[in-house]
Amino acid sequence: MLIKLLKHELRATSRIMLPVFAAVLGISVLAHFSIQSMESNQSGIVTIISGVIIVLFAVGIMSLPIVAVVLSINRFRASVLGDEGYLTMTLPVSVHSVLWSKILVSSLWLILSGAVVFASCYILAFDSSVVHFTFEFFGESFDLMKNYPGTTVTLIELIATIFLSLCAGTLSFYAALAVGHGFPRHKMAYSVVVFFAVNSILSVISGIGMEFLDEVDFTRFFSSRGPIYIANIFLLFFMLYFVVTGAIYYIIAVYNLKHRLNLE
Amino acid sequence: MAILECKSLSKNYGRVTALNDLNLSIEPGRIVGLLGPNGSGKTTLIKLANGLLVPSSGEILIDGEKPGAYTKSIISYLPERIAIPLWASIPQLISYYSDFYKDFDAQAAENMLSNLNIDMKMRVKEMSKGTREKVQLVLVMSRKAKLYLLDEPIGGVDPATRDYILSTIIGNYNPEASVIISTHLISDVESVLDEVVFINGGQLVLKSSVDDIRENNGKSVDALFREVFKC
Repeated sequence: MLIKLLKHELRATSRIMLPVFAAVLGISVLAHFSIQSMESNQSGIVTIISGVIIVLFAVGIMSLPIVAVVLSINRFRASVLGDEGYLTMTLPVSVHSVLWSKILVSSLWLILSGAVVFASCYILAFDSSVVHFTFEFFGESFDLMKNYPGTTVTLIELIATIFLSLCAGTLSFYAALAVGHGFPRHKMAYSVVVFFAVNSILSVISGIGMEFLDEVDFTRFFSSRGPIYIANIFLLFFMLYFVVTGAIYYIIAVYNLKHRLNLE
Repeated sequence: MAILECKSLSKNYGRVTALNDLNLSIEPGRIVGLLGPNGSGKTTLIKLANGLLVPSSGEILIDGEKPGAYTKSIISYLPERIAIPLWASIPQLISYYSDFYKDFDAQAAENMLSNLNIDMKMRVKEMSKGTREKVQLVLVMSRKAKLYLLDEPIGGVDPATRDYILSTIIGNYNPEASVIISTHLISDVESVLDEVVFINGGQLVLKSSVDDIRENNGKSVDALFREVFKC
């Protein structure tokens, strides 16, 4: 059933995200030619239009992750806690499946947003030297992974850490919304309060943990290890952090969706 | 075995009691009117049956099981508001129901929508309120469920559509299944009901067959309702 939920969640969200991606990539192409025209000293009107396009490009790539986050929040609020919730929450599936479908699709759009931002910047700066640099970069990266097998593990850990951070971040919004919408009135206001309250509590706990770690002398432990090993340890630590915080948010969200669901 | 059974079922919202020690049993193959004034607990009972709420005490069983994935697979639920996504087209809705409900008959849904002259290319947001209600009802009644829970199915539509909806309910439900209809429009649904359940203040007031009401009280269900719940 999770596959079917993912299919329909992708259908519901792609109708917004794909046109946004296409628009940002389209503006990137225009921005690329705008820079070229500005460099070749075109007339005043062309320079003004080029400037506007470049500003649009900057706004586009900066707002892309925000659009993905807002869509994720709005989609969860509407399809689980709003009127659509009467349909979603009476499907013959578990709350866990519903929640995971939202988390995975939200994380996917955030990752793709990052990829589109990267691609847009690449299009903007595209010329022969950039292509040369790209080949050089990937060539050296593959050489590094071949010569130092530990770097492959580090790369996998880095990708896993990013994915876990996105899941935990998405869950922090879902947990706050699930708690806030359990109240009879001012649901969004309560959601915002819960979001900041839970994050503040976790920040304080994390701060105390960091203080504790700060007291420990790691120099002897790390001095005999290579940089890749140290990077692996740090990434594992962050993965553990995101797993723990994500699990806390997940438990809060599931409990509230099961026991405090309060559809209008 | 009862298709729906409430055992000392209570539900509180804070200090407000919506259902109070309710004991009720609905047998398969019956069309039941769940009747009561505003705030009597009808919608709360239906939400509990659908697993949208959790009882404060007591239990509710559907086909002998507590609400969960299995009971949701055998209940076809029409909420009192439009729950189908506004951005979706009719083919997308049919695909949605086909994916999640094994008992959904896509062909039956298409036939009913065609009979209602509803354009299959339309998106829900392009439809009038009445058309949205019809589409939602068609999707719900195109399932071969064991229990249909219809919360105010005829509340917002004109009398002609009301007749069509009632004939759709009668014509499409599985005869071995039960239909529970919650409504205020008693006179409109009275002709299709086998039984009525009156609830008030979260408690059972009356459970009787429609024939018994007519024979024993010499009144229609509508007249008896007005007498029992006279303000």
